[in-house]
Amino acid sequence: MNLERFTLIVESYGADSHRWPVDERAEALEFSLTSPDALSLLDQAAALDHDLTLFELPDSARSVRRVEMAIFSALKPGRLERLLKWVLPDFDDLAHTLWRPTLVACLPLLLGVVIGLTLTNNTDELSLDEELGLLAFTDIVREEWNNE
Amino acid sequence: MEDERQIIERILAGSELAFRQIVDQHSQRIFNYVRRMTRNSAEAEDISQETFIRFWVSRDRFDPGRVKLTTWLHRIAHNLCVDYFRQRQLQERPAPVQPDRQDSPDTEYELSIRAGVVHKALMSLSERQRSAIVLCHYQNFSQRDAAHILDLSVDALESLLRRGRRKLKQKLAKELE
Repeated sequence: MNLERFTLIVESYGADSHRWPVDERAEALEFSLTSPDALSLLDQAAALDHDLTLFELPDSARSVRRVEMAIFSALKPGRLERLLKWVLPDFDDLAHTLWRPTLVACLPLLLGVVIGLTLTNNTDELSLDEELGLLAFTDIVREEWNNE
Repeated sequence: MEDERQIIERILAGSELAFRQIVDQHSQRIFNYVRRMTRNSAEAEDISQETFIRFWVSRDRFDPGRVKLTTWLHRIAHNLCVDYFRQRQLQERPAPVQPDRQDSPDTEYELSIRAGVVHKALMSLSERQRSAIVLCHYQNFSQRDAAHILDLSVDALESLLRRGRRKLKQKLAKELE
């Protein structure tokens, strides 16, 4: 260690030896004890270090909390994304997840069956006038057949 | 208690829960770095948030055997700060510190004035010089880690620090005369 290198270290990293390069720290500390020039350099650097410590940040707990909340909400997928994720089969576990797209594909068929059943039930519940109308229509058709 | 190595392994396997743990552990430190680099809290919040999201999205690029997690996160944050300054072409004019004189004793008032001058002097440095000082002085990174974050050699970092501190010293001497 010489004064030139010691000056470079102190001018770069300041007076706190904890910030000095690890592999040169012991030598630099020893040098500072033997050289008056080194001590003067340390005093100057310590004054700047002290000024730097004055620049403290205001309390930022709320800001940090907001950052965390924003990150966590960004991770949550939207409804559509969740639905698609559920519907699309997992190719690594096809046996257990293939029923989902199958179910979705069958939905229109099931809907058709339900509509069909509903309409069938409605024909069983004809009013008296409708039933008489149907009977009368049958008689007319039968008469026309007989005439022919 | 799970150590960071295990948490990182879980993150790399896609665990959101592990990622949340990392956010809890590192958000304050990243925010402090970005806050010291930028002018205000709102900008620092946006950049800090983006830092973690980028880390999560490109987590497969992180190699825990090669670099520490905190160094990696600071590197992402630093790159985002650089992008931010480039995009906005910011002129570094920090808001002046305006302490409440009536409620503060004279010594505190003088200290806060001095702190404002230090803040202004720091913001007048180039973005690279400021990063080097903030990483080594405030974030307590070793030369090697700080150099990695800034994508520099240790010698180049040392030179950047030296020039930055010299400029800072001159500015402070002029302002505080």
